[in-house]
Amino acid sequence: MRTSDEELMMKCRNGDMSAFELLVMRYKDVIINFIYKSIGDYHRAEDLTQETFIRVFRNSGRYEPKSQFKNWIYLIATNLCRNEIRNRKRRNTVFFDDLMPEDESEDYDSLMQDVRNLPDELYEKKEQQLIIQQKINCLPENQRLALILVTYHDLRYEAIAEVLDCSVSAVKSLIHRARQKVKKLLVDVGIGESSNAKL
Amino acid sequence: MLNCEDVQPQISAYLDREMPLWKIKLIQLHLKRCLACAHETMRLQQTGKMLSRLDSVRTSNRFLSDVMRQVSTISNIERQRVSSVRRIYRRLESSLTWLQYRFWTRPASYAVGFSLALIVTVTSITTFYQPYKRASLPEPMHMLAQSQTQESFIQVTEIFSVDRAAKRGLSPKHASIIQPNP
Repeated sequence: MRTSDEELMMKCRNGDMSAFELLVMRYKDVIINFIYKSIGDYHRAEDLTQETFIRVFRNSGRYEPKSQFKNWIYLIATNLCRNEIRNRKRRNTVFFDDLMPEDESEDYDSLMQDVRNLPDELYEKKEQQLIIQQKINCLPENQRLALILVTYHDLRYEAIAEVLDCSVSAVKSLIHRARQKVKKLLVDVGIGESSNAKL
Repeated sequence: MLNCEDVQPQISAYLDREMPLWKIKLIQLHLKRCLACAHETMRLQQTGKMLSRLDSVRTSNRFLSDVMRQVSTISNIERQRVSSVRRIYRRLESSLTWLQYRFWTRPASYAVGFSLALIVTVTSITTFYQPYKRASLPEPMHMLAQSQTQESFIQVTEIFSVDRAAKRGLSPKHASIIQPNP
């Protein structure tokens, strides 16, 4: 039987390092994806993911098992993302690192095995991904985080409200505005016009 | 009936199925009649699909070992800093929280377990606990033995008294005034 995250966290509170290791294994890819999509910088995302797990370990004594562990770890990661976004805004620097992680070649290899992914299409796909990521990064902080949580992590609005510390109706409006803004930004650069043409 | 002003802000929630079924039906009804709202819904749906095209990333191979190394360093530092009494307190506190959590998540099974334990305890107490068997010499037997000893003492005393009275040349009726030797 699969041990729940909450049970693992309680074991971790008692100093069980293997339970913590299991939690890291379960959530490392989820959290790095969330942070990476929020800030758009792979290396910084990995640092912040590490920091998230260290914070989880340090604050394990404060964890209340009544709330879901998933929401709690997202809350920690969200706070780190917010700090990072604010720091970047303050410094007025844009670190838009390469879209690919270190194992870029592996991804290309897997795509190249598929005959449908011809080089031109592949290039186009990567270009589109880069643009989409850039447009996500243009969104205001809360809209960006809410949109990422609902699109890539399938979180319910209630859970997002808990993570962002706001009401469900606020989440509803944040997501709607974020989608509309991204839609407009993508149409401006010529992505997503085909559907308009059809209609 | 809903109008466009009501429907348009709710399109995202409608696409994410974040509303009650009756509301979904109402919006569906409106979308069948209103081309502008249907158009907007389609565009937002397509934006969502485009957003989901982003590839996911993975952590590097050394990520897990890096995190575990850092965490074990933190753990060692804390162990040195925190006193043993505090550590015991923390352990007890977390065990209590854990029990609360277990009871909170599975109240029925814990209630049944607790009731069974209570029944077994009460039954075993009533079956095996017999207060009169507790002492090495039970209370009624002890009293009986005491009374028997007293009786035989009186009898022996009487015999001795009669015997002494006879020796002194007295009649047996004077025997009661002669005290036996200790």
